[in-house]
Amino acid sequence: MELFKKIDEILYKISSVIVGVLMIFLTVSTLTGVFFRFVLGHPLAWVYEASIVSFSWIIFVGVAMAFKNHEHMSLEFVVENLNPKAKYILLQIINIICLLFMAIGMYQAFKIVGRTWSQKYNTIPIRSGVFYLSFPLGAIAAISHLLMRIITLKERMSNASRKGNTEKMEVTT
Amino acid sequence: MSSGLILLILFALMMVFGVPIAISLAFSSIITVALSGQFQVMALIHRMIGNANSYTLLAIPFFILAAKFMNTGGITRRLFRGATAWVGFIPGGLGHANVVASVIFSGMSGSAVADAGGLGQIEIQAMKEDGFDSEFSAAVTAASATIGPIIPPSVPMVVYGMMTEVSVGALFMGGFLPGITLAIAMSILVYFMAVKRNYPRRKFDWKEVLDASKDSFLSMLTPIIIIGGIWGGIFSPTEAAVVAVGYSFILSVLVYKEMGAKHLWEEIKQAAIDSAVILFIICGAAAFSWLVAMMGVTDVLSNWLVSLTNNKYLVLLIINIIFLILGMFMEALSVMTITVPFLIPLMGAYGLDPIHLGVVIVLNLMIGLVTPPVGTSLFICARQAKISIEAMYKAILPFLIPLIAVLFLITYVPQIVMLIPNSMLGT
Repeated sequence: MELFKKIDEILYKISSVIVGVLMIFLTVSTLTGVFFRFVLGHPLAWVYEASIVSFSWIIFVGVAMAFKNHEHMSLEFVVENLNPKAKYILLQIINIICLLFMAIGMYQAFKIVGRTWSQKYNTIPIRSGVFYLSFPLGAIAAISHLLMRIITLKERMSNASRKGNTEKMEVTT
Repeated sequence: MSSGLILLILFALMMVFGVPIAISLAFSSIITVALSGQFQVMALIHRMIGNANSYTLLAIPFFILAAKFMNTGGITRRLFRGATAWVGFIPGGLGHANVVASVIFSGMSGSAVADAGGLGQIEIQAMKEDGFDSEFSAAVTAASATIGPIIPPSVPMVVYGMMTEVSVGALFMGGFLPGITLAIAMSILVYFMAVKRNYPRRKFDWKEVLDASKDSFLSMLTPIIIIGGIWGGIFSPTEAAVVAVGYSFILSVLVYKEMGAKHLWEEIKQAAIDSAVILFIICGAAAFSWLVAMMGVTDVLSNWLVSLTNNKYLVLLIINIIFLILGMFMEALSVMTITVPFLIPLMGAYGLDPIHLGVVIVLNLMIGLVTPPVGTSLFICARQAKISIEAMYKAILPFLIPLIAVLFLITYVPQIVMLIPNSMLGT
């Protein structure tokens, strides 16, 4: 269990570095593109494709991080008005639905990566499959975070009830 | 159609019971596809991921990041100081400064939540210190934050433009006059409430006007660069967004020196996660909307509406009422991503202009941010003002009058929306 916790933390840290670095790259490359187009009158062809690939990685790795931080948007009025036992059951069902979706998505996305791996982008030395690879790799991190949430939900709910309502958001999905 | 019904029921059930909205959209689509056997699950996932292949959507992380830099790097604070010096002497004092600061902030940021969360904190504290009651301070902050996505730039308009394939630049400019109208309407309300309740106002001080203007001058240039750039056709919305990031970075880190490396890294990371949350919903909605269109659900609903009435104005009223109700319970972008596929056939059937309808819908959904029971801006401002959510619900009620009045004004006087886009597009 401790080992799994550690792996989960490491995955989160790797994800943080990926989204942070790519966000910087995305901003700098797009700004450079604007500068070259307007100031130097010489558009950079690679900016578009490089931006799109970075963007897909930011989204799908960021999605996994949002599972860890409980940041995905959802309606909470039903969950919040249940008694603790019913709330526990519903939150676990929600976690399992998310887990199932990420698992199915990961499997299908790996198939898409396989089909697009032979194609290449025109302006950057990267295979088209790299764009789609963001989803299954992000899904692996998401599945780890979701499993951790399923395992620790009981503990987090009892901690939250001890501390009052301040940690209400912590135990919602 | 029966498969379409299954899709809608599954989606509604998942969403109501608290499954994240993005997953509700995507997973209900997967189950429907698996049950109906009409399409492949892989095609659905392909469509979902492929939705990230959009240069227009790139504007979203940039606008989010720019707003974070502005709030952390001292730009927002300077804006409010400038606004206070200019209009703080009018009866209603900082209430007007609040509205004016929101108008200027709107020209830099595309998000009402960024306005309520960043600028709002400064505004509410300053208003309370000046002697305004907490409820009024929180209400005027939440209400004026709705201007954020109406005046360009605007995150919801980027999403709408991408979904309907309408020019995002034209949509942005369509929001300009409605945003200004909204600010005027809100200031009139603040004036009357201030006179009635005898709220404080500041003395006009030339020295403070000059000092504050000098201090906020560089910050004030941001909306001019962004709106001027889009209006003049110099920048695309995505380019304007990245220029906003670059400019706010220079001001926050190099000029004002209010943001260190650690803050910078945290803000960048959080902007990426915030963007991912929004874009995940948009990707889920891409799968969902593709499926509802393929299964003919959108056509059935639009044909049903057409069979009820062929009066365009009545349809606009129905659309407004439906969106106001949805906005009371759901988050704005989610409502938009789910409902826009149903609106597209209606535009053709009733001859509705997609730019006009887009601005109307965005304003409508922004009203949803301040209508009970689920109003994101209400929650944020109530927490900042340290008042109960019930007190916030009561305090916001007068502000719904100008908001809804302007909504219906722009719905039935489309020229307010279309004047600038028409001059831009030369029509």
